[in-house]
Amino acid sequence: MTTSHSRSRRLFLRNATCLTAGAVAGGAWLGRFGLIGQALAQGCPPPGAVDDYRALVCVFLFGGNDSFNLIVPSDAARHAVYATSRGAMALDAASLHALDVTGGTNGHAYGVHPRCAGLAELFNRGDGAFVVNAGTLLEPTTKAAYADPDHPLPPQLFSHNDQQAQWQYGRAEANGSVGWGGLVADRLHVLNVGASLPMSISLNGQNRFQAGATVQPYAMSGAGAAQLVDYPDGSVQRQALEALVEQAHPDPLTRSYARTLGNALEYSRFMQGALDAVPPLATVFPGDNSLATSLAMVARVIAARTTLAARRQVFFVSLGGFDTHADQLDEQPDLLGTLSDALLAFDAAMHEIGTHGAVTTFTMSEFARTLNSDGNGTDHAWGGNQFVMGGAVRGQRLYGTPGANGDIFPDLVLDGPDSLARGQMIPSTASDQYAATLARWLGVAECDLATIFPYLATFPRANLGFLD
Amino acid sequence: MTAANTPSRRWSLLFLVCACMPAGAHDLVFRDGFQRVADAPGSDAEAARFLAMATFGPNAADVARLRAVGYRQWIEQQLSLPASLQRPEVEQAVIAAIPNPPGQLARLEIWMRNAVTGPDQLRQRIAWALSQVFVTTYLQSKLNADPGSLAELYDTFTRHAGGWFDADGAFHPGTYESLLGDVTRSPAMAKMLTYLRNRPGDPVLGTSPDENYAREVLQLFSIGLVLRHPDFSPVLDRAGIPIPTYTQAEIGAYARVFTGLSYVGGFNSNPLGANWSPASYQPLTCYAGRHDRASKVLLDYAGADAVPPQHFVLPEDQACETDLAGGLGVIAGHPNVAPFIARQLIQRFTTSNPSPAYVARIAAVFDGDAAGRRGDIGAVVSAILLDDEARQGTAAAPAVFGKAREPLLKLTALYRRYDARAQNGLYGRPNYAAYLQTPQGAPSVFNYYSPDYLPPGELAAAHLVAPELQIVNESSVFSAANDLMTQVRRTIGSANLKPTQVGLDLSPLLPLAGNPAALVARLDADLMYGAMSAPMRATLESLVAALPAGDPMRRVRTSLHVVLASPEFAVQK
Repeated sequence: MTTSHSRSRRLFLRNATCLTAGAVAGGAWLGRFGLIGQALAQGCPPPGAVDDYRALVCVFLFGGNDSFNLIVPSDAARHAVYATSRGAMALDAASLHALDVTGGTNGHAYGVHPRCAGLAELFNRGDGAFVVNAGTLLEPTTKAAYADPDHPLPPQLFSHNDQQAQWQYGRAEANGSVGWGGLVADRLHVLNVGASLPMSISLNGQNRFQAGATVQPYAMSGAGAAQLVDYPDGSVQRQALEALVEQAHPDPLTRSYARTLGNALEYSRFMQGALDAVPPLATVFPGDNSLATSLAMVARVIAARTTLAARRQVFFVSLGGFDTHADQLDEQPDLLGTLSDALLAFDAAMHEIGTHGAVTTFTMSEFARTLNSDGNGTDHAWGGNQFVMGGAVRGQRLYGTPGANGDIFPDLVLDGPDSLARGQMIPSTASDQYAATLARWLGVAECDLATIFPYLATFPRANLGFLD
Repeated sequence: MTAANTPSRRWSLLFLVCACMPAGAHDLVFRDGFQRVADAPGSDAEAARFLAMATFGPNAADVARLRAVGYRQWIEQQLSLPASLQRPEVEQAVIAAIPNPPGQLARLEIWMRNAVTGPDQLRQRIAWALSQVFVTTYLQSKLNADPGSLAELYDTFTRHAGGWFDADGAFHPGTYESLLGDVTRSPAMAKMLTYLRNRPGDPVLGTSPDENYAREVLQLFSIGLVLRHPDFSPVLDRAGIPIPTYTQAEIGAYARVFTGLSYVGGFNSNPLGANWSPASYQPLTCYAGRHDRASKVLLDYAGADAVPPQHFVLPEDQACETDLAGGLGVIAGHPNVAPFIARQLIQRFTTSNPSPAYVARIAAVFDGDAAGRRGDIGAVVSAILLDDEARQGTAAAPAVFGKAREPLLKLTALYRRYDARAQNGLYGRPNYAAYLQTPQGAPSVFNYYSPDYLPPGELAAAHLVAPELQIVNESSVFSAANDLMTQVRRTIGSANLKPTQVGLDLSPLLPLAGNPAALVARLDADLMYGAMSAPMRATLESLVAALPAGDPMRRVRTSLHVVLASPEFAVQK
């Protein structure tokens, strides 16, 4: 960081370069990206000022989490159906951690994976909830509709990267580059009056979720904000490197790299200074847990929110390895244990910082997996279950849309009324409904929700109701 | 460069060749109709620019050699060199560590040695590119315990880059179909995509064959998700929608094709750990008793360009090797393969956003070289490097041509240009993680980055992809720069350099430290093939002048590092 004057000047120059080039390119290529930017800018009134703090933390489970082994029907009748479909992948009912679901359950009982004691604790104390059988959809889709060649379906079902993109985009389309977290930040970043860092913070590098039309995430690691060695403030080499960033570059690749390098030079020491100014967390995060390391850093950034002048933030963290085609019984317990332990510690940290009601953490994963096995693992499927937590969550409940059986939780039979031959579940709730519920809570107005999530109107409810 | 002025430029280059090259050096010029640029680089800068694409970084010796023999002969010589291999040495490390796995150290040491000093630079660079298409990673599927099979697969890539002679002296051309077969039979890929010991569905147990390889071999290694014209543009249906190349039904059929494969020593053998044997890396066997024997309806090519609708069915009760060869042949024969593979290889060598015509030219080479051989990897890469667009940029959109340098190739370029070496002869745990590019160490089968990555902002608005920028963020620009700083601080001749540390030979730069313009010009020539912009030169000259004249090493190191960290060096054009 040199001076605030030079910082704002550089930001201005970089943004100006971007906008000018974008405008030129837009003449020839005014795609969806350009249209969204316009709609956000022109269609809806700007958000009113706020003085509270709220943040969303997206925990992306890369590879396709087998979430019908995350939450499992544990009453005898339905567990028997589950066990038959899952074969060798089935979990014993007795091994599950029981969920204490409030309200009527029609005699249904549920438990979570044996390694998810933390999630059960969060759920049972009212800080956690599940959203059931959610997936990418363009319209409500029954099994009969799925078989109808004229019924619109999301492109490239069962493909990792396409389904990741669609979950992160907030619409079941494969094109474009932005994500709904980024589009939310485009809309809400003006609430961070006086902030010198982007509203979006990534603990996982580039990701589509946080890519906005104008706001892009700042990437840091679980160790903090990376610093450039041997380029002290005011040194001739730092001035030279800053000059190379700021000079005019004739091609867009170099400009793009220069923007990232410029942002790194700009933000890294300010962020680290803000982190250093907050006391260390007393909450102990589990060791040897990469997700916990990332979430611990998110907690520290949240603790520094006043220094950062942040009133709304969007975080992205991830855990990979969920593509359990083989050795699922070996690998899934560790993955889910990592998730559960990390989330439980993060929840404690939010209490410690005093932001428990202000931070909502939620999982996403590109798809769940086939209910039947390939012998020692499972293959790509479609609808799955997600976990949300935080003080604002109306916990101890399952959320979703009743399927063919009239219940939120689908029948786990192969080739059943809501499933394909191998037990790929047809989602009854759209990922867009899930996302829009979260975005609304963060402060996105109705008008903007319709722009960010254009397919939302095709579903009966824009708000799944799991947040206050 | 427009079409109209190409001939005059061609002749001026040819004149330079005739004037300055030894007799015979240019006799390959215009040997066939495809090659339309003069055959020897007209300057060190042109040679270095080519070598930045074709090697792990230009150095003085290669620049001189390329200028002496011309592009085509250089390529032919390179591809006729024997492949520098990994597995034989990794195997020794594995054997020495039995019953424990030795980790990745030996494999990663040899990778760096071959990248920096391998005489077969082009083969190594092609292997590196292929390893980013047919992706395996030690981070998954227990491959961390099996570096021998990873190394053998890498050697498969290196061999296919130009072909190889077997133990009987017979030559094997490196074709795509041969490569696809060898990849499919490799234990490393079988573990990576979990089809090792894949079994037919069992109606009693309610199981189905594993679909992992079936899906990814189609999506990532061969045809992609949607039908393509030869120039890679999508084939559209009447509603203007891209047409999927396959459905879940074909995935299910291919999952059944890929049943029955296991180690050569028996279906349930496991030649690792205390039982380690060469079977752990040798081609898999297909076990008839474990193979799904029902008929299989494969891809149908429906809707693809210039082929009549074809229906490929593997009849029931075929021998499993016959099923496997037939199934792979149908994949390799799909019209999508040429544009799909051509475009990705172009992206790895020359430009992220090739013109459709460039892709179509390379796809045509893929579909049949001069000898009518389909998918010859060496011929395809040669055409990629020699194409007008590669040599002269994208005529219609000069600012579009180029690619972000792969972060790891910044390190290899530095090492090669300044003859990096350690006294103990090892490279010793290079900090690959700082570049987010550990060889055969991507996070998943989706590689370090996607060929379709659209960086948000200006590039996405212009529909320009930039795969390498997917691993460029505020954290990684600094982690890479910091490792490069570590390298720049270590120089041969320094008293502080430990025998185990890799040092750079910066002695050619030191005499220039007193002359800022000369030093910067040399850095430009060494690392940026003379393409440094005037403003960047001016900035660097001011930097050098502002550093103490009495400390030439500081001037050299500081200015060198600023180049390595700069936006202009980050992009290869």
